[in-house]
Parts: sequence; structure tokens; C-alpha cells
Amino acid sequence: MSKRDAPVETSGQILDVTRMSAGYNGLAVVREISLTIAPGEIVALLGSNGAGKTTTLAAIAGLIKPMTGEISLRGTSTAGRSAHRLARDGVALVPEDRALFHDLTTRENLRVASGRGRGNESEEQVLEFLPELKKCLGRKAGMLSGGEQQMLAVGRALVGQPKLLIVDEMSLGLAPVVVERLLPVLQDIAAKLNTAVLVVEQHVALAMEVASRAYVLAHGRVVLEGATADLRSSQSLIAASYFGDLDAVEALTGSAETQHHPIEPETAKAP
Amino acid sequence: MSAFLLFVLLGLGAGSVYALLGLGLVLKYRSTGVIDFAHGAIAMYSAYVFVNLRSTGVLELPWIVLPHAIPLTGGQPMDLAPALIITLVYGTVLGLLLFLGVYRPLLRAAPLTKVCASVGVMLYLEATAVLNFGTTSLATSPILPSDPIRLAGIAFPSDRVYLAGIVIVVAVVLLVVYRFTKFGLATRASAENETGAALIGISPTAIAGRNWVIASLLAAGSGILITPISSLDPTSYTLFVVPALGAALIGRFQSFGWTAGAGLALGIVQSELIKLQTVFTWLPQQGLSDGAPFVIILITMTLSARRLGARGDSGTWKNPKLGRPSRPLLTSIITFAVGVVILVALQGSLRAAFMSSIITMCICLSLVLLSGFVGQVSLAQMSFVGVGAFILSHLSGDLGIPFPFSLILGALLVVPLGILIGLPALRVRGVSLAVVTLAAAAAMDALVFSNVGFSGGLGGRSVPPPSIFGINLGISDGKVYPTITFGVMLLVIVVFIGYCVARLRTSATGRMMIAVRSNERAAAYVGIRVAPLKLFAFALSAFIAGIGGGLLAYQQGTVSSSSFAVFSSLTVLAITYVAGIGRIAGAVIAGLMFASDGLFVSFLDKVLHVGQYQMIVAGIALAITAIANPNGVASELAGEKGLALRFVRLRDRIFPQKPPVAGTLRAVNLAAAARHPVTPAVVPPVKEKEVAHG
Repeated sequence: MSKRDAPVETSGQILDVTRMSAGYNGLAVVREISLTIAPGEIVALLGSNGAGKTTTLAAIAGLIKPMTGEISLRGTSTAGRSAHRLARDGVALVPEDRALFHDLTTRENLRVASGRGRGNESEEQVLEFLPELKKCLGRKAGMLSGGEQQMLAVGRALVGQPKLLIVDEMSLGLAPVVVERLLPVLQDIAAKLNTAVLVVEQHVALAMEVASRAYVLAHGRVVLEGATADLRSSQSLIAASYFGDLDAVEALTGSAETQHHPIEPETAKAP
Repeated sequence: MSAFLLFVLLGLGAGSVYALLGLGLVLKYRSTGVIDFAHGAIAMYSAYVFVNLRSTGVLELPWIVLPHAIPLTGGQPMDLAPALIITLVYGTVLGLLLFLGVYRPLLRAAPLTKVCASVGVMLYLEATAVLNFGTTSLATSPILPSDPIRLAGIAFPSDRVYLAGIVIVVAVVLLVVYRFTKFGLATRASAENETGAALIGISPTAIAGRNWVIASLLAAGSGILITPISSLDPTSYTLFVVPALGAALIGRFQSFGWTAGAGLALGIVQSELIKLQTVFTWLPQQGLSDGAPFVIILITMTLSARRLGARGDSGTWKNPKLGRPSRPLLTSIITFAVGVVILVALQGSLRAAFMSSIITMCICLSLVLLSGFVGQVSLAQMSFVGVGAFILSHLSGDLGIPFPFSLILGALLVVPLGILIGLPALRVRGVSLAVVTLAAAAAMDALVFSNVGFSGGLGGRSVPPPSIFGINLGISDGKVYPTITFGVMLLVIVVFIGYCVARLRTSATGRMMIAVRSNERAAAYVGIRVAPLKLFAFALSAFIAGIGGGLLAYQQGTVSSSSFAVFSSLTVLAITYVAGIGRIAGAVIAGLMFASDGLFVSFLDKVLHVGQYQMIVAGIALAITAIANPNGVASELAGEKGLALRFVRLRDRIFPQKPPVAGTLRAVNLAAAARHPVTPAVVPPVKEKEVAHG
């Protein structure tokens, strides 16, 4: 076990992103965004296409380097840690394309993710959360249905017993029935394992159901954040931010300065 | 019957080496996506190290000039066991160093970049071995017990059986390790999806490094094991990689079992063909046993082609950057004028070197068209060149066909060959096409170029100098060598071809080619007939290569098959790629800077007296350029503030463009287009230009 596993709890947060900008080829896609997640909490990251959700996740998982700003995992900066290092340190990203190993069986996909030392028990645990996987253990991942693949992707992320589980576009290409089955699994995981869960979800209503807090991105900035209970009551706000209509958001929140929902003033950042 | 059995058993020797090397190639490909053409060279160098330890106890290090021979035993021969262990460690360390220095920086590079780097490593190791050990073959005492075994009335050396046993054991061990251990799982996982592997905590680099070490160990081991069977010399050992690649290809660079089996089978087929030649005298007597396995590979791969196991993120076929020629006619005229000035300014050997550069440009242009525009890799390009050269020699020598017709007819006769070698491209693509065309080149080498009637044997065939209207265009006019007229003729032909290729790039056909290159399926969806287009590209490329061959024949006066050996195709692809295979300028740079007999290298030789170290320098330069310019030198030059941009500005300042008129928008630059409002009807050409710039 590395030193990083020693609790250096400064803020009580698993993940603390401070004024991070990230993008590709020198072009920032997300600008100065800040977000935090506590253990056992489910946080949704919402926003229209191109808002910068996936880029944010990629930066958190170490797939791309942030241009400015700070990402810290349990109080320690993640700067300089590669994706595989971060994965071992407890960050598990389920990417949009699921990144399964199609030529390996379901069981092999799970096994390959359970690093050294960790044995079958974490595999067993995963199968308790996702009992549907039991019947397809011997099949190649490429032969599974879309829903089964998504379950396997989540399951594979869980095998490493992550502190932070990040799921990108869970419902992409899945039938509503399957989505309704999968989202509660995330709640289950957060509650029982005290894992922090960050979900990106196009299906806003569903995301609001499972998450306790949400951040809404538009044009690479956080335009709205707060408890889902509060956000749910202001549908027009979300609609406005989805259409990228920042003026409307400002008008609705009545605040051109903070760009934030006034519910949580303590997390507001400088403009 | 028993004689046939004997040859089967004898074939196990070479077959085991193909199999072991093939297994190493599979490991390397699966873990890093590198098809390591230097794999045989590592086996070769390890074999030399082993032989030297056994005979004099001297440890030979893989470099020159610096002290490289370390006496370990004071001149005494070393015992088998320590020599074996030292050599295996040596090969492993060598492989690891090459991985860290060359392949690790290229892990996420395009497959062709990796191929170029490995060709650089191969050239380096081979040239170093030639300098340090000479080219005379060495023989050594046996390692495995080789007392004859009697079976069914025949006696054969038992070491072949042991060798085959080793192969089977290694294959089974690899099979078990990769199927059942966590390391094997991790390798398979990271081969399939590198990002996915990183996301679950696997370091693809660490996995690749470990696999590379195992593969190098196998290479060193096979190098040692073959020494008693095949006499040791740098070139033929390095060439073992070709049948090994064939074996790996049959195993689709995935399956250990198939690769091992195919390696053994190839060895047996070769050996059996030697026997058959004595029975059936109508069989071709030269090169049959060398060539037939490649013909088999070619046919089986073409008929039963399935794609090579895709290699996750980094193994997807990244296309080299493309250029978009602007004002090709003007550029061609300027190029021609500059070329003539250089011809006049240079004298003697440097002028001859410039001519070699021009001819290399022609050959490289054939690759720019085929690999750059259409994305089809050909490792048989020098075979086209060679056939073109020999046909020209027959046409103008034996049949007396006069100059321009003999050259054009000769090149036209290469076209069917181009289409033939292009046929596999309809079924296989990417890296597997590279290996299939390499097999084709090896088959050509063994079966066609070794045919004395066609190629004139060792002495080669002479080519009468070209002349037109009684004017001698030959490279020598009795007093002067090389003549300016010959150089001008080269320039006229090659610049014209360059102009045509540039025009092709911007034509409708060129756009279709690039569509096919980007996505065959998508190209088919928009109504492009992919197969005929590919064959057309192969035909055209073969034609240009054939012209290059003809020019080469005129330059050399005598063509011999040694100029068109298998690895020369590899080298020519590597230099074109490194120079920038997506651009006409890439061919020019390849000819001027990288051709081993071209202007820059000859100049270096004159100034620095590189001489015998030329191949070593070339190998290192190739590897370094591949790492430093993964998109090709020409693309770097075409970037912002690059040389190419300055050239374009200078050209446009001296020869200003006509003011833009509606309808001639093609020649207008973007800034001008933005200043002048355009009607929607003429927008598409501008848009296309914009895309090409990106």
C-alpha cells in the first residue's frame, strides 16, 4: 500500500477539483471549473452535448492533463499521475464506450481488473451488486447485450474497490428498462461501500433521482450547481443551461456575478 | 518414401527457428503493435555473441569504433553453459534497451512509424555485425546432441527433433501463460484496449516492456540454436525474419499454436521442395525452396484473409498527414529549373549522386501515390522497380525497341504485376497487407530475380544507353561522366511524374482515393467503387515504379538483381515515410536526404568520410527521424513557419497569382476567398481546401 492511501483528509472530500481548465491541443474545452464529491455521495454532472462533461471526467481520471488548476484525490494532488496510477489509487472511470475487452470473457474482464493481491472476494462482491452478470461469466464480453456490457463495465470498475467511481453516459444506447435497473445499482454501491460516485447522464430526470447534488455545465463552465431537490424545482433553469442560454440562467438565478445557484453560496468561486 | 521423410525431419531445423522467431514477433505485436523487422537481427547478433564466446571467450558489444570486444576468459573458449547464459542475458538486455530507446517513445505512434524505426534498428545491427564480424560464414560446434537416430530405415540428426520439441514446449508454455495467468490477461487486455487497461490500473508500457523482454529472450535463444544448422552470416540471419513473419501472419499475429505450427511447416515445405527438385526436373531449379513458402503465404492470406486482430487504440491504422499541392505547374517548372542549376553546378560523383536522388524520388513518388494517397502499404515496391529495369533491358537490348517507347512499354509491362500484388489488398489491409506484400517481394526475389534468363544471373544484364533523334541521352558520352543531358532527361521525366501525381491529388480521382484511405466502408457508402480504385492505384504505382526501374537501369548501365533484394523495398518505404509519404515534397526529401546513394549522404561521405559506416549512420538516422518526426519531415516543414511555407510565399511573391475571379476559386487562397463573397455554388472547392489544411 502506498503512502497515498494514508488518509490525509483535509476537506473530507474524496475529490476536490479547483478552477481546473482542460482541453485538447492547447484549446480549453472546460474552463476554471470546480467541483467536490464526498464519500458515499452521488453527484451528477449534467449539460448539453459539447458542454465539456467527458473532458472533465478524462482530466479527473488522468487521461488528459489539466492545463491549469488543481485536482486532488483525498487531499493529494493528482498532478503527474498517469491514468493507470490513478486507477490503482482508487479512481475508476467507466468511459462512454465502456472500454471493455471484447475478446476476454466476462470473468476474465473482472479478473484482469482485480490487481495483485485482491482475490476472488471482490469479484464475489461485484456479482452481489450485479447478479445478472453471473449467467454470462463464461461468455466473451463482445457477445453480451448492451445492458450486460454496461453492467460488466460498472462491475469491472468496482472490482478494484475504487474510492471514486465515475460513470460516463450510463444510459447511452440502452433501453429505459435497463437504465432504470442500473441507476439504483449506483445508489446501492454508494450506500454500501461508501464509494463516491460521479455520473454523467443525458437523462436528466433519472440523474436527478439518484444523485444528491448536481453540477450543470454549459460552454465549458459550471453554470449551475446545487442539491438535486432544489434543482428539480427549477426546471426552467436547467432547460436554459442545456440550451446554453447563459443570459437566461443569469436572469433566472438573479445573479450575474456568481454564475451559481444561490443555494450553496459557500462553494461559489470567484468569477 | 523414406527419403521424403528424411527431408521432412531435416526441415524441422529451419522450421524451428522460423517458429521461435515467429512466436517472438507475435509477442511483440500483441504487446506493442510493433511488427519488428529487426527481430531476426537480434537473433543474428546474439548468435555472433554466442559463437565468439564459445571460440575465444570474447564478449562482443553491439557498436563500432568504441571498444566493443571484452575478453572474458583470456582467449580461452568458454564452456557451453556460461556462454549460453551470458548470450541469453545479452539478447534480453539488448531487446530491453531497444524497447526503452526506440519503441517506447513510439508506443502510440502510427504502425508505419514503428515499422520505420524497426527498419532503422535492423539496418544498424546488420551493418554493425558486418563491420565487427565480417561477412564470411562461421560454423560452430553443436549445442544439442546430434547423434543420428534411426527410424524406419533412415538416419537423421537427432538435434532436429530436440529443436522441434523446444518449439512445442515454448509454444505450450506461452499458450498457458497467456491464457491463464494475470500477466497474460493483462497483456491481452491492454492489446485490445489500451485506455481500458489504463483505467483499471494496468500500465500498458510496463506490460509491453515485459513482453518485449520475453520476445528478445526467444530471439536470442533461436539465434543460438540455429548456429550449428545454418552457417552464420549477417544478412542471411537477418533475413530469417521474413519466413518468421510469414509464420506469424498465418497465426494472425495472435495465435501461438498456429504460429509455431506454421513455422515448422514452412521449414518442412522448404526442405521437401529441395527433394522434389531432384525428382521432378521440370520444376524451377533456382529459388524454388526459398520462394514457394511465400507463394503459399500469399495465396492463403489472400483467400482466407481475416483482419489482423485489431490492436486497441494505438493499433488502429493512423494515416500519415497529407499535403495539398498548390499551383503544381508553376512549382514543377521552378523545381525543374532549380534541378538543372544543381546539375550544372555539381560535378563528378556528386552529380551522379544527384541523379541517384532524382531516380529515388521517382520510386518514392510511386509510394506517395499508393501509401500516401490510398493508404495501401507495399513492401514490394523495389520488386516493381526491378522488374521494370530488367524488362527495359530485354526490350531495348534484345528487341531493339527505341528509347521513349522501351521505357514506357517496360513500365506498362510492370502494371499487371502491380495489379497482381494489389489483389491481396482487396482482402487485407493495414499491417497485414505490409507483411503480405513483403512475402510477395520475397517470392519475387527467389523465383523471378534468381532466374538467370530473366535477370542475367550474378553478372546482371546490360542496358544500352537511351538516345532520341540521334542525340545520345546516356549517362556517359565517352568523355564526360555523368552527362548533363542524362540528368536533364531524368529531371524532365521525374518532374513530369511529380506534376501528374500532384494533379491526381487534387482531381476527383484523388479525392476518391483519400476517401478510401480514410474509411473504405464510408467511401463505399457514398458510391465509390473501392476495389477498382485500389487496383488502379496499384497499377499506377507499379507504372511509376517501373519508370523508376528503367531510369535506374539507364543510370547503372548494368542491372543486377542484388539491387532489388527484399529489404531494399523496406528501406525505400521507410525513407519515404520518414520524409513524408503524404506529400510530393516527401518524395523529394527522401531522394535528396535519405537515399543511401543520394546527394546528402554522398556529400556527408565526401566531407566526413563516413564510408564504411554509412549503413550504421543511415540506420540510426532513420530510427531517430521516425521518433522525432512521426508525421514525416515534409509535414514538419509544411507546418507554421516551416520551410515549405516560406517557399510558397517566395514563389507567390515572384509569380503573383491573378486576382480572384468567380469560377477560378480553386487557385485562390482562403484569405482571398474570405475577402471576396462567394456564391454558394462555388463554395465546395474552398471548403475542401480548408479541410486539407487541417
